[in-house]
Amino acid sequence: MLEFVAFTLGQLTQKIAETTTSISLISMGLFGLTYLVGYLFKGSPIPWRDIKEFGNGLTNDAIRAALFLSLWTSILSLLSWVVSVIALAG
Amino acid sequence: MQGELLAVGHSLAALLYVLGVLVQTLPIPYASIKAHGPQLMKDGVISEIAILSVSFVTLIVSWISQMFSAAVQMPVGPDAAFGIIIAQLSAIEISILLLIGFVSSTVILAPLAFAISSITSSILTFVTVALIIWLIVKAISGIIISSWLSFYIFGLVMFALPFRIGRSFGTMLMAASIVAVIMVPIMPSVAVWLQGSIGYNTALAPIDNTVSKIKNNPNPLLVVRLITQIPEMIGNLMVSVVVSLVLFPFAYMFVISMISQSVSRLLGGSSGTSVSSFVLAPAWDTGRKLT
Repeated sequence: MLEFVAFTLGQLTQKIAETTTSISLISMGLFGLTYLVGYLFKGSPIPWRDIKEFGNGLTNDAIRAALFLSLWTSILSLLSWVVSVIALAG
Repeated sequence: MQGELLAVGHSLAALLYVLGVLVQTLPIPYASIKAHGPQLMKDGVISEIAILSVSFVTLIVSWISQMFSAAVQMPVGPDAAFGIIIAQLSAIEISILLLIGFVSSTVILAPLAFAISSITSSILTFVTVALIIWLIVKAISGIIISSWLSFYIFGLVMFALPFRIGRSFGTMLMAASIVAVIMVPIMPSVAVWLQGSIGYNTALAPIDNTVSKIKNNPNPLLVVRLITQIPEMIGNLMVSVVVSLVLFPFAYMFVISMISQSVSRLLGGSSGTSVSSFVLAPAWDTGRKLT
């Protein structure tokens, strides 16, 4: 029974990890799209200030999100490196 | 099992963070939807920190348990204390039942039996409920000591579910497992210590005092005083038994519940379900049905 639960939890972890990877990839793609859409609004020859500010906001959000995603990946890589170093030392 | 649960929690925390990033990168003009992004990222980071600090929590719980055991001078260990408590409560219950049974067996004493049974029925209910509470505590104590960490990690997994759907339940499980593993195993020892303390101070200390006075000054009036003190001593001993074995578990469960709710709120959840309702409510129901 316990083995079955452990196996199911392992499968669940794998599924969640796969979903996380997919969402990361989608986020990276969306980052490019949002960044470009933001610049499109910013650089469009229209007299409405609100739309230009919206474009600016989109660019900022995209840059911030990409930065946070990179930070998360970097921290996780750093942690796994530290764990592997400790494991090797032990 | 705990490792697998931790892995699920870690994956969920990562998923939360990445979902937050995704929501933040959406090219939509709705600020209310985009506000969920930073919130999700923050929840993901908090969940990850909570998952990484499981060993630290284990260490803290072990340290606090040792500190409690050292601070309260326990007269006996938990198992011996539990044996003492069950023996005393069973003796009280059997005495009352035998008294009622003995008086009811004769026709002449039937009115007296009716009076005694109506006086002692509420006492009998309380003693039965207390006995059931102690038995539940014994069962819970064994389960909690062996598997509190699994409950804690399951609470962490609930805590890390997206959009805070399991946050309240998760924090309740985490808080209850921490508080219970510290407070439930020492409960029988504290009850016996309380019984000894109340019994000595209210019943035995005055007698001891009078006896030492008689030894120093053999006055016949002091002997009369000693004789008058004996019924008072018996009454006070009964009070100490009732307070420490019958009323104490209710108060202790209430305190555990209060502390669990406070810790739950501290961990970021709402107050949630009362932990004492898992023990007191079934004990009351069963006790009332039995008596």
